[in-house]
Amino acid sequence: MVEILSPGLAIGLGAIGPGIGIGLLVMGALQAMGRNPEVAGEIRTNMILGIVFAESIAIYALVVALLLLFVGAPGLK
Amino acid sequence: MSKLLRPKPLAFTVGILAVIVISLVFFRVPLPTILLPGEAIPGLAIGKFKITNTFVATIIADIVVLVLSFLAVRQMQDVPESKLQNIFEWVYEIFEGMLTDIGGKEKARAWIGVFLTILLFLLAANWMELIPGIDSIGVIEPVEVAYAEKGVNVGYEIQHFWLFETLTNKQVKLTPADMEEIEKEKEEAESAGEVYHPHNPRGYVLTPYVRAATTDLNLTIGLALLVVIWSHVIGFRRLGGKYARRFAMPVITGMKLVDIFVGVLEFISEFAKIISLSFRLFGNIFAGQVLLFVMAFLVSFLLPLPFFGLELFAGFMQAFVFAILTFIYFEQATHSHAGDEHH
Repeated sequence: MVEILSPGLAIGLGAIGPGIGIGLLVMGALQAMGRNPEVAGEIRTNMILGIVFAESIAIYALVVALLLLFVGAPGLK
Repeated sequence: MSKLLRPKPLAFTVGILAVIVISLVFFRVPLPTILLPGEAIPGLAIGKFKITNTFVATIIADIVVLVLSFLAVRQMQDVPESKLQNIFEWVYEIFEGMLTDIGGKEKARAWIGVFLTILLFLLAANWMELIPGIDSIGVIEPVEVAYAEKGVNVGYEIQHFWLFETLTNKQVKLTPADMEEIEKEKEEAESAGEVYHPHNPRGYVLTPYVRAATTDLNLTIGLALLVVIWSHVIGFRRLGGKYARRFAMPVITGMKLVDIFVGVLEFISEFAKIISLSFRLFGNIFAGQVLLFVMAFLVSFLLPLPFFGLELFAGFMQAFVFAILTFIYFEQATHSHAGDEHH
């Protein structure tokens, strides 16, 4: 039971923060693009970079989940 | 009426649905065995050193980058006629401009070699997961052997197809009783000094010859270590003894407690750099690979297509982020923190 639940919780809880973060990030970028369409290209590049960095937090959770799933934690089995 | 009911879109939609249904009924593929560490290819070893499939992929990625680069600069011309030289110059110009914006002309010139090497190598290594056959051509071995060595407990039946053997989609799951039996047989074989080989295999698993290089944590941690240590070397070279000040501030300034804290934080952040660089790259590419496996397992045609596009983008983005962070770390290492720098 625990070995099924723990990877699910790891990625599920770990994805909340980055999800909110990416939402805020895109919101800010889109507002900036709407106000100032001339620099939309530059903003888009930086937005994608920011998304990748925010996403990487979720990826850490994913790595932990994958480790739990395929390797297992000591004392868990 | 809605647009979907016009003849052309209707035929298109029905066609897609038909392909999906047909692939669901007739073309089911097995889910590949997903293992975190690089898998040693059976029967391929130099002495005790087992050659893993990610190692093979690393060598291939190296060769691709080297050969392309040599071809591009073989006959350099002022006005390039070869398309390859044109492409390389275009790439160079784009990223030289980008690095100049971040670190200035001198630093961009100095480190664009490192930047482009990492970028091109990681591009080759990441995009390898998209090539058909990379994760599906390999050595087939009994699931018992795979269980004894790697703990794999799901195998597939095989069928003969022309000259080759292929896995079918009929799953064989090892029961706890099977596992005990295998362990016993393996111990017996080992005590008799033989290599364990089952007489009547229950199922088979496939170990691919090549698996995308960055799905192995060893490569990404190695690369991250190289980059971070290199940034310290560059810092010492450019700033000399001043570089050590960032880790031991109280020696210079009077504010003891705060500066000790800052020094400790700087020290920890060096390790955080290694972890974040390596795990971001590894996690993204490994997760992408698993995603492609699972999508092809669910519906073998059409459904995986958009995810290939996604992985194409993610593979480029991760390579670019790794390279640009390398440059930023190098650049940061050459700023002196003590406040008496003169530009």
